[in-house]
Amino acid sequence: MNDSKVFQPTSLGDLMKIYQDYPQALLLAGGTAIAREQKGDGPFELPNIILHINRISELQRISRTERYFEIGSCVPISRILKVGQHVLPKVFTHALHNIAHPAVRNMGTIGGNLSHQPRRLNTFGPLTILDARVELRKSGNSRWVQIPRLFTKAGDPALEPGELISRIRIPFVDWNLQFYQRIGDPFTKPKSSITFTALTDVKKGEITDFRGAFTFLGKSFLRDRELETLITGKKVPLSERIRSEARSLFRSALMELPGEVTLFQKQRALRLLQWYLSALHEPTSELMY
Amino acid sequence: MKIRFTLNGRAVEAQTSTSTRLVDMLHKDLQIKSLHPSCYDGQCGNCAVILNGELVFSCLLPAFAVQETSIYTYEGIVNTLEYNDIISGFHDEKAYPCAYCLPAKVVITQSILESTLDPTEQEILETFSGTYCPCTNFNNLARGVIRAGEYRRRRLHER
Repeated sequence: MNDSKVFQPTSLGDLMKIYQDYPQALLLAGGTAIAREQKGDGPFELPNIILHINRISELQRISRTERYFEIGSCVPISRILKVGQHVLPKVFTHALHNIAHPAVRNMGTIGGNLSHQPRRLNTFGPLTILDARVELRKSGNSRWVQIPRLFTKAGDPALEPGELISRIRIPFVDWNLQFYQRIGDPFTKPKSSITFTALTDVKKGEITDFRGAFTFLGKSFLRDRELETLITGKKVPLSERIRSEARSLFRSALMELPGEVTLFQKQRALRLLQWYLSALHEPTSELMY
Repeated sequence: MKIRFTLNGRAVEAQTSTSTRLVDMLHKDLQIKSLHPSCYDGQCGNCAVILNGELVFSCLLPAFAVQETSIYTYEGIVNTLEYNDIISGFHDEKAYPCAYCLPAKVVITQSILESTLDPTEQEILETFSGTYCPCTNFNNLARGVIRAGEYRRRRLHER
């Protein structure tokens, strides 16, 4: 096996120059998700050109303003939890806590978790419905996009050649019910694992806003705006009629998912949504998890 | 590719392929026999090392990722006062990891105590949740880690 060529830049400027010359390079920060995709023992199977980006201080910064929290793409998950545990949205920190275990969270990065190509991992759902944005940089240019724009409808990467995620911006939110559930491990149980993220605002017995999203095996992601519109404006607890309508809408949306999503996962998602909608109530001091 | 880093306090240099896993470079090329490459999936913990002060599983890292870093393994902890704290704590609470598991348990405990000398049982059990070990009672182990923290606090206070 020929050795890969590894670049280890220490500044963002150097990184962008090299990436412009080698846009096909594999960007590797913590590398935990990449490592877990490799099956068996022995050496890693790596592409010809690797950009090891874990030593770039500009990508490891955390900052906050009154309106949002900004995290560099190479900040390890554990550091985000240490710094932002009490200020970041609960639905996001819960998703981070559900990533593997502390030793992996010390290595894995937010950028890697978000941009992992073969499958949508823990942070994708929460950051999508939180209206988080990512900064995409390439030599001489940068732009901010919403999370779903990182991938095409088919689930393939949508970044331009030479473009990389530099920062993630998460607005501070005030939802009174935040819910995140991951069932199964996407690496060891890919045909049965799902994640569900929901944000609900309930004021004086009425749902004033609702957002929900599921991720499945591989690249599939489901957020049904019709469902969100149906639920918004309704009184809690939801009537059987509304819940029945929600089930029908959701079933139709599930039917349109690609074939890689198993029937088991679809059933699981439907049951989880049914449970959530039946459990919705005027919030007490306890947030739903 | 030449990898230069600090291993257990000493500067080392290794020549290895870019595809080599860190655990294999440490175990085969640098003779760190306390590591037991097993699952190669970050599930068992037998390859635990401390990298720049953080606990990591070396089977998930390519060797080149430790360029210009500092790594501690069991070999760098044994024969230190820190090791004595840990073993005393384990024995006080009847936590007796087998010879195969002990190195990883010591490394993980050391990483916990470097972060805090007063860890909670929940923090300890969460950190050990990434390991697989049928030989140790984890409740005793958690209490052993807490006891080790007490020993270390006392020892540092007495300085």
